[in-house]
Amino acid sequence: MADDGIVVVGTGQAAFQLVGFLRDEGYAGTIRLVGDEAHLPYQRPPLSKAFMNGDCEIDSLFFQSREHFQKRDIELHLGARVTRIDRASRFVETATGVRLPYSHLVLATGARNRNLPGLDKPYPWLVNLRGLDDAGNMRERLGGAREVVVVGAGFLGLEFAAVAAKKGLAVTVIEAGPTLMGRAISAPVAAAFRRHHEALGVRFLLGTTLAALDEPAPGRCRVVTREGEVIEADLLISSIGVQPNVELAQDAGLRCENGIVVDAFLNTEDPAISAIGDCAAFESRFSLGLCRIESVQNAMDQARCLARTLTGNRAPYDAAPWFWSDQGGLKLQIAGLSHGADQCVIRGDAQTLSFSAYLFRAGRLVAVESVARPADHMAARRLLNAGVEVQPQQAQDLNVDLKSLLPVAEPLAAQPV
Amino acid sequence: MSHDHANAPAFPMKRCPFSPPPEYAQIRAEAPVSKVTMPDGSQAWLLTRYDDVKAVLGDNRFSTDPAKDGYPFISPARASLLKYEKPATLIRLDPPEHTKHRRMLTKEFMITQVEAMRPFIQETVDALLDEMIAKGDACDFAEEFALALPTAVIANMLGVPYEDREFFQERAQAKLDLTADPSVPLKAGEEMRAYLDTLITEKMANPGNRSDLISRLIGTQLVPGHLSREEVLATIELLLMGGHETTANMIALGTLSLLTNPDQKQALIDDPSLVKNAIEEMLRFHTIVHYNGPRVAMEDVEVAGQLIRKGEGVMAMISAANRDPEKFPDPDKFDIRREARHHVAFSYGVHQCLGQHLARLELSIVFTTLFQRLPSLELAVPVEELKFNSDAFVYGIKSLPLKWEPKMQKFFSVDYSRCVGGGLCVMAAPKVFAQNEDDGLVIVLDDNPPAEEHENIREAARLCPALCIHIDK
Repeated sequence: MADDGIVVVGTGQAAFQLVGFLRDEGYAGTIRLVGDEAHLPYQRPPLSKAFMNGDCEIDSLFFQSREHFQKRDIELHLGARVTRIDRASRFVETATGVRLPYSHLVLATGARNRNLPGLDKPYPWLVNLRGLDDAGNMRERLGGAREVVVVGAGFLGLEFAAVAAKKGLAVTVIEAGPTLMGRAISAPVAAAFRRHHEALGVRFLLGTTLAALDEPAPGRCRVVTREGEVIEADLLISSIGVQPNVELAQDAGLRCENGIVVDAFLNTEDPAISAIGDCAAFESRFSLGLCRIESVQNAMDQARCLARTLTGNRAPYDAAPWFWSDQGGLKLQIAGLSHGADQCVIRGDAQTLSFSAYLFRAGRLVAVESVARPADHMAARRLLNAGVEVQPQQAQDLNVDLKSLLPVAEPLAAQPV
Repeated sequence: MSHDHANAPAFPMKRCPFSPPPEYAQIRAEAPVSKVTMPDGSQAWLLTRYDDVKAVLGDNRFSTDPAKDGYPFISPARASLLKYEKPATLIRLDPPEHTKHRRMLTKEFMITQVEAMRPFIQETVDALLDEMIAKGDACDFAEEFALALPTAVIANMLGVPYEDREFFQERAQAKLDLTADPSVPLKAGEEMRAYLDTLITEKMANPGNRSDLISRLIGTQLVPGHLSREEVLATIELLLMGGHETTANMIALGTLSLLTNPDQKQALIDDPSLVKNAIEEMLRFHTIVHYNGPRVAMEDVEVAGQLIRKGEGVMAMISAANRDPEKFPDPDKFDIRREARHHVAFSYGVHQCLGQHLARLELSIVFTTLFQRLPSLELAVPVEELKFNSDAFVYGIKSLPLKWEPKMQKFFSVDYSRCVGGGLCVMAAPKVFAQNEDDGLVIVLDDNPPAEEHENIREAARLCPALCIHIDK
């Protein structure tokens, strides 16, 4: 059978990195990058941070120019939504009926924002923050707005809230859970960020949901909480979490469970189809059961791992996850995955805005959340990667240099850690 | 005095630019605990060995209270200040009063608290260097950088207007001048406290939501009455003075040592993880608080077999201890690779420097940035022409003329405050970027990279998830 090369569905960071790594690894076959967004591949993290704040323009968000892809012999199919995978004949079909054959297919379809229930109409004051168009639209509106309501106190919502508050807008964040970044973050770190946001002027309504939402005047929205509090605003940002784009895989009969399920080599049950990035669900030594990770690190490392596997250097994906969030100048860095943690100790002083929380599950260190403590974070990444045992008492003792617990002090290689 | 020794040499002895008085080494070898004659004619014990100095500084039977009989004064100006300035700051107090005052400040200077200053310090260092580079290709580094940085940092921390820096810098220098007329330090101190008094009044009148240390002291100590207004003033003055004059001189002298040891400067540029060690060596080598520490025995104590009687003065010289060959082999050699962490440049015992974490943080940021930004930095005059400040309580250099290769238009710049340590830049341009060994944050290896690196740097800029790298050209 002729080699039809590799088709990558999606144009996000994982997809972009993968095609670059494939060429770096010497892959000489056809590479096709297919996605429904009309833009060249771009960076998402700055959308809610530097870009929203006006610190950079759209141009600096694009990873590469069109010429770059040409030079590397990577076919771009932008604005082309893939609607079907034919596994038997090995091709994907786009909404316009174009068929692209593949020898290997990579799904890097990402995730999309969940919609606020009952809000299907495109109101002018309602913004979903996910893609470049959303962000550009929102940044423009932010200029004219005075009051904003953010629904959902996750990373994205909070990053946006901090930008808006710093611009002097009245910001109200409504969150169903009892704390900030509830599912992802320990209580002391959530509390520190709450203090930080409140100092910036952000108001929080926690443990409540929207009972009603309407448009009292054109261009204005009115929110009523479950308790009956009424808030009017010029902008409503919905950031109540995301869902993975699994429909394509599901329709093709591939196993999906909150993500496209892949093995340690990032392969679906079809040996000719892999999945990476935000859409992939996998098990690792850092997770309890299947996990799905939305991060730059995961996109990068999975792309690199898969590129090697596809070029003959087969190796399982085994990188310690790490994340960061920048909320109004305060940096949060997280190493590991905290789900199932049953113990939390603090290094430093949790009353300040510079400390780390060490999370343990059954006595084993599983995650470290650092607030303006990059050295703790870096040590944690290495400790988790090396699988070093850390005792809670050691973690909270500032006299113990945690780095010294590492087996060998290996210098940072020219590889991201 | 009945226990006076004949022929006790005069103190203080003349020091050299880069080392304490040569007599210390001789005394250490021949009679490590021996008497010297102080300027007022009294005698005191001079300690020159590391172990003896540490033993005395760590022993509460030795007092730092200048009001105690027998306390040795190194000059009339110093004596006048220490005797007559009231109330005494905590460096002149013994436990338990000392403990009470110090405890009020301990938290403010803990590593975690100080670490929160990192972004501000880095920004200030970057801005000062930008300014230097923008102005031309030479400057008085002592004034424009070494003094400016710690002044900005302590002013920010305390909540003292940076615009008033000339006023308090001048007063601080007058207070520390050992050769001045005895009225000078006292007058400078009065002016400083009067200035701070006005500042406190302003802060109390407009409390706002200030988060500076002075406002906190007002709220937690002055208002509840734990400290009198005079005590608060004394404390603030001490922090303000201690916060800029010492670090300023360490930055200038540390820079000078690296410039006069170009191989070590290069080693530091090539391997920024050496910075931690280099700083400890600078602290040891220069020991700028070179007249520390005078003490007086509160009872009879034996030190290294020598009986020191109650009421006798002791000069436990940290500058001598830090050159003890028993503890620091080849002690007069500046060597950033040596193990120097056990030095006593911040003193030892209960009076150990409160601000040492802040000083270390400032120095580490300076010496991970300075030569990266200006690898061509060099002395603009021969070393012999430099004027050192031997007559001050804090040793230093009055002026440090430096020059560098004229400004090239930079190809790229880095916003360090945004870096999240992803390491993607290192992957794209390993010859230009590295990650700090400790915190993973970006280090620029080559500020002026060759053209063949430009494409890699562009790639690094595009990959950086925090968008810290900007292409300027």
